Amino acid sequence: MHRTLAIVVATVGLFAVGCGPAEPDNHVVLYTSLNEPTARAVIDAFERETGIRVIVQADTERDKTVGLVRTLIEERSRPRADVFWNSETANTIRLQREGVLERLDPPPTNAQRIAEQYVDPDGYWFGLAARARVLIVNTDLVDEDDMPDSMWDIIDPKWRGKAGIVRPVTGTTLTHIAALYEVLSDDETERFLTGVQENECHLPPGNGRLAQLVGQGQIHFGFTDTSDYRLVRNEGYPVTAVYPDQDSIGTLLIPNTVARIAGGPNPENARKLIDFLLSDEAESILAHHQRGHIPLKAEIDRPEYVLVPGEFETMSVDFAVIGEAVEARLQQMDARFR
Amino acid sequence: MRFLWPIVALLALLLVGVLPTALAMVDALRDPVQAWAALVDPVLWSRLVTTLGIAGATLALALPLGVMQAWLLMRTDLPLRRLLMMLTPFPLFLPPLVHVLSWFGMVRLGGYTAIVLVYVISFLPFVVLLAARAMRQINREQHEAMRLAGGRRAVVVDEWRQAWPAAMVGGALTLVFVLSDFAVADFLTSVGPSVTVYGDTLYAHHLALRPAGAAAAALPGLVLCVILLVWALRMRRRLGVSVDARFEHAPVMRLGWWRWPALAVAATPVMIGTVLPLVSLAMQTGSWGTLAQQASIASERMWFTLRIGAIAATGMIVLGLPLAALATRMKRRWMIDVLVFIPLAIPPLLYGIGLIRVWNRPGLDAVYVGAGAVIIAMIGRYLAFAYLPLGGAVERMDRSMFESARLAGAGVVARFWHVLLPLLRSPIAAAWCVSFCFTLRELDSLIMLRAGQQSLTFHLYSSVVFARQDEVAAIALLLACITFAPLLIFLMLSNRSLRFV
Amino acid sequence: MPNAITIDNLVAAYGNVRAVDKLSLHAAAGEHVVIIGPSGSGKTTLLRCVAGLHRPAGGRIACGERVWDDRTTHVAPEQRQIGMIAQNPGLWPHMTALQHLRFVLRCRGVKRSQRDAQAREMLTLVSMFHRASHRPSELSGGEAQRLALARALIAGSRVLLLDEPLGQLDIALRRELGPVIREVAGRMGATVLHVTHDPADALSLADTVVAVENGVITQVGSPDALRSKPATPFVAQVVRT
Repeated sequence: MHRTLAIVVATVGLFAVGCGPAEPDNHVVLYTSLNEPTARAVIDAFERETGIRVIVQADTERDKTVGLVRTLIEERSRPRADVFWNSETANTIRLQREGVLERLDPPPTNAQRIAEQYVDPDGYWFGLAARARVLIVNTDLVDEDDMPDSMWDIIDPKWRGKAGIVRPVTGTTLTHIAALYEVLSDDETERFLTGVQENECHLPPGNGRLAQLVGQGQIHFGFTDTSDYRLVRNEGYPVTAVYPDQDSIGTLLIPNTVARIAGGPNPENARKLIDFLLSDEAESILAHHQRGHIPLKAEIDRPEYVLVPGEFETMSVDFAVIGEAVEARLQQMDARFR
Repeated sequence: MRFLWPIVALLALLLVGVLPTALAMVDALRDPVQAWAALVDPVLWSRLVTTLGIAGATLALALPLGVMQAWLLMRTDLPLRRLLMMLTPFPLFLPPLVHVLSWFGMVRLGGYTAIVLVYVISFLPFVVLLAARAMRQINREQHEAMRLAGGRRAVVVDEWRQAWPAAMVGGALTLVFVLSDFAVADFLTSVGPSVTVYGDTLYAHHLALRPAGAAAAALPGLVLCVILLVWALRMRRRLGVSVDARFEHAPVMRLGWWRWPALAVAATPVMIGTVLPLVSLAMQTGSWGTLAQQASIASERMWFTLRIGAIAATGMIVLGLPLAALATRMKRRWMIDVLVFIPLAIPPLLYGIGLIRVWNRPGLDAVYVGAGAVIIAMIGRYLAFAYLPLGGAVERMDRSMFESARLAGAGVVARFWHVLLPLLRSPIAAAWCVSFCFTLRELDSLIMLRAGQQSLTFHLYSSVVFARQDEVAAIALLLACITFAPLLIFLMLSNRSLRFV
Repeated sequence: MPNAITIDNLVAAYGNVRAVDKLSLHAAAGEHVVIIGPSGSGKTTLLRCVAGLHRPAGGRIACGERVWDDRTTHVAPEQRQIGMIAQNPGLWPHMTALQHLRFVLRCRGVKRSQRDAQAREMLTLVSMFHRASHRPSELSGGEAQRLALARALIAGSRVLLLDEPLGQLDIALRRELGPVIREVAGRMGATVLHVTHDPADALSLADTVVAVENGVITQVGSPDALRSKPATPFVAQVVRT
């Protein structure tokens, strides 16, 4: 009997020890779809400057934000997060629609210099550190003269079985397709998608994987994000990035977005963190990061290889509209690319 | 007193396993139209068929291969069989994608063949371990009777037949993991015609924020897995082997000259599943320096992972043992089986959602944002791996041992401490090791919990894209080491192969 | 009488099969009752009911004034203070012979300081002293049986249930241990219900012999009474051999 009691006490005790202390006093909770090491580069600077501890709940490449977005929605009735930092726009807009986000009024000081296109007109979210949708090309397999320079090259029969695009049901590729529907006509976009299928394009599960396959020479070229291109490039693979469609629709630029969670436990610290993420310093840190994020503000200190809008033509899109459309597009794409 | 422990355990099971599952699945009822649309979607069913095809091919290879492997390792005088048995379980504890990353990527295989091969390598140990356990139960009298009746051939046929239901339990567990996975298919069919599987549909529903659809689409897989598991367990129970104080193992078969070709056959899966990944990871890591550097960077995470895994594994034993004892006493023991298996068979993301709904409450913050939720998630998800071996062991115990204890005047507590527990020492140690290793493997449901981010597994996955290849390999190697450490210690101390069930 | 066993209209069933059918029996305190009967006649079930291991479907079992089983009562086996040797003795694989006996004494509340001496004494009585530190898997069939016997006797129970206790022993040991059982039981004043196939046991050890066939009693009497007037062909066959 005593031993039974001892076991119960020991188990509960063990569990209690396992739980450990939950949260420090002066802190802010950040949910981010970036992977933690990337986010850390900026957060460390914020912690140093403000003394506020940032508790990070990050994402892995594999999960592609699904878990994080569902968590935020599930916690809506009792939010545990203060700030959401998303690596793209679509999920932020959906969270806004789900009532998870809170308008920042007045807007953060550092938001003033950001181009209109990358800020929510109602003040729910703000853009920073963008990635461009580029064609990553294996320079061993593709000659200088043959270099693709347009999305339409993907469906050119000349490249049958040699080009790739991520299966467009997730992430920036889904946003990209949704953007095409907005910028081109429906018919044109459908023609592109049909072409992708008929031209035997490879459909890897993620942009990182696609960039890697191009680097390894298993695919000649394909669409990816500049951040993934940079990683493969840094590893020494023979690849180059082409900013496509410079003479027509331009290259799509997808910003990171930050927003405050409605009813979060530390609203004041949330504002401070958001303001910091939108600062020149943060943009510069992310530009110098090995993923080479593209600053959205002019005159930010950055490495030479990080091109900014103005140095290439960007596609003109309304992210709010795309965000609204993205779910329907997803359903469409999931059925099409089965 | 007699029912106190089982009732407490049952309540705990409801709290950590059943309640989260139920609260996640209830989404399907909130929007029946969406749920129905998801359920009758032909894409769902065609992908389910594809996945079942992959699972079927996997089992068609893994079942006979696994039973043969088990037979060679348990019932013959194969050289090095103890060593091979020790190395057998390892592939289970690495997520299949790690197998892919470790060496499969180099052998440019793609398409269905590659997917099936990866699954066979990853999950063959389920079949081998369970079949081996069944073969260990064959007693001398039975063996001799069979030998007299039909010679060596009859002995072999009988031994295979005896192992079959247990192997099916392994097959059912394999199905659970294959149905919830999509990373392997996605990764291996990146080039060439892509293969989309059942998991892709579940994922698409989550991605599209269709909770009712996600819950409904998970239903066919969940039902299928649970039915198969319960059926396989029933089959195994019908064999009704019992072990008492005077149990004698049947003698092993002498293979003679055939020992050497048989050794080559038996060593192959172990080489491919265990040795090759480790060697490959070690080679990719390159130097001790890299390993040491990553170990020092990740030391806090390693400690966290070890601590959490150990607490969770202990919790699984404390919970699994009374449940196993309760199940043996019940007529409808499949009901407990179902309750234990559901959280394992449900897609992890849904389980994570359920956990949030249960634990994100005022006053529970220390649990919810702390490591408590992680421990709970691990116990809830993987309790089956403690329950299975303990249940198997309790069932096999001859009832007369408990009856004689009762007649000697031993009450329920004395019987538990002095008869049940000492007899279960080895299965408990084995169940603890297995549970511990499975906790290290878990990522999907932890991704939704804040403290889960401190785990080494999470670190590995968040490094896969970001870090250099040698660093990733070093982290994977560290994870492998802390996975294998308790297993090796247990196997060496007990000097016997893993008593899985 | 504190340890007389009274069984009234006992019914015991396995599913639809009645193993014991309205059986009534009285064993006076200290009486040695031998139960004989062909295989499958319900003898073992009868003992299991008395032990509390099988719950009767009807009838009443009492020990002295205390009711063990009736429609509303069921006393758990561990509270009946019974010594029993079952056909499958259910030895504990992890305990040595000495530990078996010490464990029983512990369960029965014997002081720690006395357990060892009592256990060794009992092992000597069943000629097992030299095997005190051996586990069941290291014992022969006969030794295991003797250990089971020692375990049943050591508790000092007032009721002993013996189901073929000497079944696995050779003739010499049977002849030796039969009287031991009788002597120990007599010393304790225990009431004994003893199931056996062996006519010699039945006739030499019994105060009363009960013949059970198909779950009902066909004859009760002293060994002499059975010998002189067997009631059924089965009994006749037993007494003739």
